Amino acid sequence: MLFNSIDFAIFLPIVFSLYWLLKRTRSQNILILISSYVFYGWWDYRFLALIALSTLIDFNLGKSIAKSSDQKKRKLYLYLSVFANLGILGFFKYWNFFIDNFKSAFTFFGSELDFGYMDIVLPVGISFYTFQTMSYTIDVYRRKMEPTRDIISFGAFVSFFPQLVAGPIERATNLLPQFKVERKFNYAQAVDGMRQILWGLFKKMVIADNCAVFVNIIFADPDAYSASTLVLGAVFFAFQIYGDFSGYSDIAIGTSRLFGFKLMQNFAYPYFSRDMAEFWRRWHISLSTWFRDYLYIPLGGSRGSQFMAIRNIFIIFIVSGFWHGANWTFIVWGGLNALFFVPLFIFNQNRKNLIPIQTRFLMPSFRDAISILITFGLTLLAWIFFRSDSVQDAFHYISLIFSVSLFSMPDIDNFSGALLSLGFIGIMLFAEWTGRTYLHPLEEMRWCRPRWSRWAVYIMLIAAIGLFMQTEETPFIYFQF
Amino acid sequence: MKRFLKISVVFTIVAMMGYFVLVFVTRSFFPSNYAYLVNVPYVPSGQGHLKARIDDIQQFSDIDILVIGSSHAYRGFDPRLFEAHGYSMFNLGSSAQSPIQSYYFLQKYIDQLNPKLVIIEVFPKTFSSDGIESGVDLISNCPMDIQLTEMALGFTNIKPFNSLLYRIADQGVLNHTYPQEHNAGLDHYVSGGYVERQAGNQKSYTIPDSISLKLDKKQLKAFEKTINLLKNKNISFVLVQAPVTKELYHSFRETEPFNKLMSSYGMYYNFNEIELLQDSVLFYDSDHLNQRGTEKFNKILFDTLSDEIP
Repeated sequence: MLFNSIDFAIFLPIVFSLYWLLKRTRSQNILILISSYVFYGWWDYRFLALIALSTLIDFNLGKSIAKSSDQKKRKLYLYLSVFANLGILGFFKYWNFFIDNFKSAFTFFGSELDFGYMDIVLPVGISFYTFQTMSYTIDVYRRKMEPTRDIISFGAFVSFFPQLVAGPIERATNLLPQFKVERKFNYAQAVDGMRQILWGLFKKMVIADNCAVFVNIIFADPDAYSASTLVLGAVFFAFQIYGDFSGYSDIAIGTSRLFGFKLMQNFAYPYFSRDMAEFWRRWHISLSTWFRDYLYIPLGGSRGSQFMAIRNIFIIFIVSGFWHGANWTFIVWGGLNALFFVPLFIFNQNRKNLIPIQTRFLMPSFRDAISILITFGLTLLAWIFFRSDSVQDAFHYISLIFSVSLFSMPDIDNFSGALLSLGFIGIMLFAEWTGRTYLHPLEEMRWCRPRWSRWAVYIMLIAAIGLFMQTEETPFIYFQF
Repeated sequence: MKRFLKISVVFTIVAMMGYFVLVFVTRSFFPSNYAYLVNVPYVPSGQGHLKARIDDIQQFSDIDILVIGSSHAYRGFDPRLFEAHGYSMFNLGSSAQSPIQSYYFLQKYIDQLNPKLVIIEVFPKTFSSDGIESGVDLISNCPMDIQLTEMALGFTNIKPFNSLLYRIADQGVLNHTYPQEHNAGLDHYVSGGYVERQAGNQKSYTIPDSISLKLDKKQLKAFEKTINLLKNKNISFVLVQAPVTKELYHSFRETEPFNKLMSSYGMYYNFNEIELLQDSVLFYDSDHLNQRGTEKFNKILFDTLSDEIP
């Protein structure tokens, strides 16, 4: 079920009403579990078995880890959990990629391998829920939390429908305890949740989906366009992926708030970052911190020699890229981001911009503005790899940008549509800039008086969605990851 | 919780009103050349002459033949040629009319027109379409009623919904009227629902190598309802696939299953299999017959159907 569908618009109020009619926490958890399975099964009920399997494995292994005092056994149970989750993920997501590369390698050395591809459907959200459930067994192993003995709570934690298919990837230490405490309806939280959902829908349906139209055309045949159009295509993709993914996160977080849950912030206005280190503290925060806590730090983090620290940086960026998809483009994208990050690390500049930019001023300083533009330019370059079908295509796209037509007007059909999309991007950036100290830009609306002025803004956003959305339901990009 | 529900209900009502106003204001603000940028494809008295047809239909009742279908219907069945043989005809075709709209038209006009025979023009592409283009044409030009509203909402698509809102504001509240010119560009509206275009205006066209005809379940359901409606009223009907250029016809995949399916519903004639109608000079584009083509087609059609017409 897509958040931007009629089905969800009917599903959500029904589940919301039933949920608050139930008085007991356990009954609410049972409802969440059932609703989450319905939500996921709407897409393909066959893969519910995978979620159930993942849930049962980690629920039992979590208990076994906690029960055992033998360190070897504890480690064995942890490895079993990691192996099971990564095994499921590896088979469904990476099987054909590895076969393809093995075959290429063997062909290069003159021999042929005769085992083949499999017709595998990638289950939606598999990368998200396997990482979420792994965080549970790892944290139990690290004695950061006690294992749960309540299978309903644990099942609801793994399959919690607002964030099941595209995150934020929650830590068990944050989300699981919320299933165990009594949840009371909070008017202010619910209203702000609705605001966040609205903002998420606007970013997805108006910004991302309209940008996607131009991105798909330009990236399909870059040779047909001038260099300036290719740059425009890359800019549109930068905002498509931001609108799409951060929009999803906003809807997920907002929906969770309606049910009395608090999820972690996943995006913190990343395009206002002044360097790549800041960008990665603000982009897909739940994944970056997951890799930091469960991969970077166990590898040694920034301790030890500088060489080892740089090696660790490359590892987490490349693994993070590979997490996105079974294609070399994602690996290069990760590697490129590591390359952008490493100089900051070497010169000890990676923690320079820890506080939000110019919170007391309306405009950024000239220096900050230049830093923001340079950082955006670097992300743009990396996004070209992320969006291209192959690494060769990405290099070809970039090579086409370096021509005199870079200084011409973009030459795209439906130029008015492109201008309109740029106008909406401008509105989004303005709203996000003015609301950058809040969790989401509409949060500041709560201070607006009188009420009609707030409502006018909400209604204008609703009308913008209705008038400018693409009319076919478009899945979120991160569903494929 | 009570407060939240109360505010939600009030907000929903206010938002609906606000949305209605903003749809109208935004669509009015965009010049007609740029109207495609907003999801309000409302075009009264547009290319297909549907407004003229709907105004014209009031004069017709108890006819011999009713034609329903897409632009192949209103550009391919000339009532004057049938009148010459002593048969009255009304052509209720409309642009991209899909079975959903055909069913709407039949429900609305079948009792008034009381035809002896209904010719259902079946163009494979309309069976695989979502019907929205034609739906918006009806919303822009047909009288407002419950069935039209039901049809608009039944699409669960924002375009027909917005067009309906705009129509309510434009024609219902502001009383704007859009009389249709009978001569528009190369087209000439002929009483009885037909649109004539003379030969010699052939447009260049490109046709994809292969067009898939994946039939839409909703369209098939509407088509079956149409057939049942006619059967329940004991009205004879024939299914006719009107001629298109041979290049277009041959680009359709799955023509055989479509022909088989249509034959299963009743008497079915596919005029794309007839060599005489495959000359490109009979068409003004890839799809549509010009007047010379229509005359030739209607002659063959009349000879073929003469036994079917009661």
